Amino acid sequence: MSRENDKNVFELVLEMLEERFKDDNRKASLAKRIFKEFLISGKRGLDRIVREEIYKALESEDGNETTIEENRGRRI
Amino acid sequence: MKLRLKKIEVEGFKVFSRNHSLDFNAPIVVILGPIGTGKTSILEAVEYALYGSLYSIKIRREFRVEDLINDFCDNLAVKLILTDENGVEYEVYRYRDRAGRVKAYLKVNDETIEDEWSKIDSQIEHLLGIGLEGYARQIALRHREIEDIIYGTDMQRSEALDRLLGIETLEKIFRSIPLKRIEDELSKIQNQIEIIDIRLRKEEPLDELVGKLERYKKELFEAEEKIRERERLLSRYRDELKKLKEKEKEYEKIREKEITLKAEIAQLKKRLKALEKEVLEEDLGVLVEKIRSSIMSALKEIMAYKDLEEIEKLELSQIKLDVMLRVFHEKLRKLEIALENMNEEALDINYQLASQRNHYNALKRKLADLEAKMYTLEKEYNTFKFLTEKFGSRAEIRKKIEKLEIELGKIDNLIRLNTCINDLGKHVLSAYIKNGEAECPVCGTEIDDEILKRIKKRLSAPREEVFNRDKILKNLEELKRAYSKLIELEEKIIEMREIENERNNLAKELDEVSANIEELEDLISDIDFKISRINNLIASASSLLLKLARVREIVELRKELEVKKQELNKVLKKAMEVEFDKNYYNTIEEKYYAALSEYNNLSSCLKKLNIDIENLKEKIAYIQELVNKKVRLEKKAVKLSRLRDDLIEIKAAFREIQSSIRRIVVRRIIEKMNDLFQQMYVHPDFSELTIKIRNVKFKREGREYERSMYEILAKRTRDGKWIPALKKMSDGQKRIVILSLLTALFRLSPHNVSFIILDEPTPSIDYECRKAMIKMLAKIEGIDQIIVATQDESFKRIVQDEPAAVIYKLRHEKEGADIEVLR
Repeated sequence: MSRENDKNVFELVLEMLEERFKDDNRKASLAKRIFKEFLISGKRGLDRIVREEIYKALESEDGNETTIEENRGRRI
Repeated sequence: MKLRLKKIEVEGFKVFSRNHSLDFNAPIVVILGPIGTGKTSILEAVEYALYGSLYSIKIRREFRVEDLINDFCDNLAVKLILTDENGVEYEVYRYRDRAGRVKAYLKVNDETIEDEWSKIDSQIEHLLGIGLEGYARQIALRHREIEDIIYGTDMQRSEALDRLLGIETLEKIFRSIPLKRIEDELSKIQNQIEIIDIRLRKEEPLDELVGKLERYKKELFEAEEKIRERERLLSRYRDELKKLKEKEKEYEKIREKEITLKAEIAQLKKRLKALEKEVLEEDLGVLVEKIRSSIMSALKEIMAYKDLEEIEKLELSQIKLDVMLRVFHEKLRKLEIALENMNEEALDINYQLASQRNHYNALKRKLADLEAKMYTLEKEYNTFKFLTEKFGSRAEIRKKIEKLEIELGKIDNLIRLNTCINDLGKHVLSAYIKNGEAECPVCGTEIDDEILKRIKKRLSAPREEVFNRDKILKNLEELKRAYSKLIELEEKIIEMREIENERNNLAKELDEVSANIEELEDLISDIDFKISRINNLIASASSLLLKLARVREIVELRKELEVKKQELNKVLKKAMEVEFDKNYYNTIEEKYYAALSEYNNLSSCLKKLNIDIENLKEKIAYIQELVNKKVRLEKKAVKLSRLRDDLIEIKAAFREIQSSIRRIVVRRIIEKMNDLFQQMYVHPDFSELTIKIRNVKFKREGREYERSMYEILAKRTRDGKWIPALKKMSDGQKRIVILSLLTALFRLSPHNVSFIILDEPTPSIDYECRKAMIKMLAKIEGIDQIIVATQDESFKRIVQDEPAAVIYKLRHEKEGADIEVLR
């Protein structure tokens, strides 16, 4: 039996993800996190990761975004 | 290391209420029994002992772990012993009660290596080299799983096979990655950017606004210059006005003072005139001497010689006038106090006088009463005198009474004797008259005529002693009355003597009181005279003092008037000195207000300009902020887009990996599965099996998906064609195909288990194939033990050639299932 045959599905998935995203560490890390979290916590875990990623993307460099008052500067 | 089952003990587990033990130490163990006797329960007990739960509880959530406890028991207990090829024994024990309390241990060769539930789970997983899910897929082959594959739709079958291959997770991940959420967020950001664009389009361009701001700033600078010029002018006028105002203030103050002084002078004159009218002018010295004289006379009356001396010593002078007035007032006050005391004294004496007079009158009334009593008693005294003169003293009367009583006694005795004699004479007379003769009953003497004559004479003779007795009795009575009266009168006389004494005393006291009254009347007359005199003197002095005060006031007023006049002259002189031109003041004031108005206009212009500039700045800031926000939102949109693209890529990667793994696993399985099928299927119509994978597109919840579907093909010997095994073959053939597949999976899985469990594996399979299947399984490398739970009694025959096979027969009993060892 070849070496490939000895590996279980979990190991194969991680290896393939690594191979697939070998040029992009961020994506590889995100994909592996998604896989592991799904195995541990199911869809809820996956949702949490995506929520965190969205939050990171939405988080502005100078803190939380504030809504601009529409009536400002109307005294002219 | 390869593990196999050795023994199991169950109690309180599902249908087993009592303790049961099954020895698995054989290569083939067949558990026979009708439905509901606990065949599957034993297999589940093995699973529970190993993993502390069941696949149908933990993964499929078909029921709860509490449902494993027998309805007639409070707890369950399972003990499982496994052994490896070296004879090492692994004993795992699990206990659970209805309250959720658990106990467990894992022993290796009777030595406890772990007693914590969760750690035992991981230890077992490590020992077996396979988790609960893998165990359920590859070791304990359930009838239901097999049925799902055989009788399910293509999709269900493919999903079940994915599950068996362990790649359904990748499919789930592929489906679960929530791209829509990112799309929604992206859409929200795009909307916000659009809103900002709309707002920006409404506003003037930023460079135009900046140009406007520069123009406003220039205008502001010019206005500020003008304002400064006006400020200088205003400051000059303000200084001038300040000086003029100060002058005006001073001038007004002098004028005010002049008016006040004039008014005061007029007032003083008016008062002076009034006083002069009221008081005739008199020499102050004469007035003072009059007052002094009056006060001194009054002080003499009260004999205040020290005060008198003080008054005498006072000398008149202008300076000492106040002192004199004060002393006069003091003395007057003293006199008034003395007068009050005298009045009080007079009042007191008057009280005493009234009291004495009342006493005098009372005494007089008492004396009159005594006189009246004396008059009555004197009459009694005259009677007493008369009686004593007539009858003598009481002792003499007493003697007379005693004498008369003795005499009366004698007369009484005589009367009694005479009566007896007369009675005797009457008796003798009567006897004589009756008998013509008679004798004396005493001496017996015969009564003759002589004696009879004498008797008759005696009887007819008057009774002198009776007459005397009456006379004596009368005298006695009279004497006794006089005696009694005298006793009575003697008491009255004693009383009369006492009253007489009392009357004398009263008369004496009356004289004394009368003398007191006279004395008090004299005293009161003196005091009244003194009071009246002092009163007159005080009144005279007071009136003179009042006059003196008025005179003094006139003098004071005149002085004050003089002072005020001098003051007024000074004020008038000062008013002349202050130079104040009202017209000049008004001109400067007009100029000042004109400049002020101009300044205010300029100020409001300046203010407006400032507001305009501020507004413009705010507007520019607002637009700048909008632009910044747009930039930030665009950055976020880029980030989110990148995340979305990443996730799409990851999603695709999972799908690709799933396909790759599927291909790898299927390639691995096909060879093994064919080998097993050929051993198990003893008939010649089908010779080979293969698995074909094809991609199918399908829609779910409005979205289109693509997934791989499995098709198991069997090669027909007759024409060499590959036909879809699960569509064209019989139920029994299908079951053999699937068992081949599952067994191949068992073989390919890198675990440490050398036993396989088959739950009802062979319905619809003919006897020959069943036999072949068991034989084949027994021969497979890596399978040392086959546990079969079935209703099929033919298994007794199938395993009869296997000398080491064990058969357990389960049957229903009232108290639950019972187990019998058939072989």
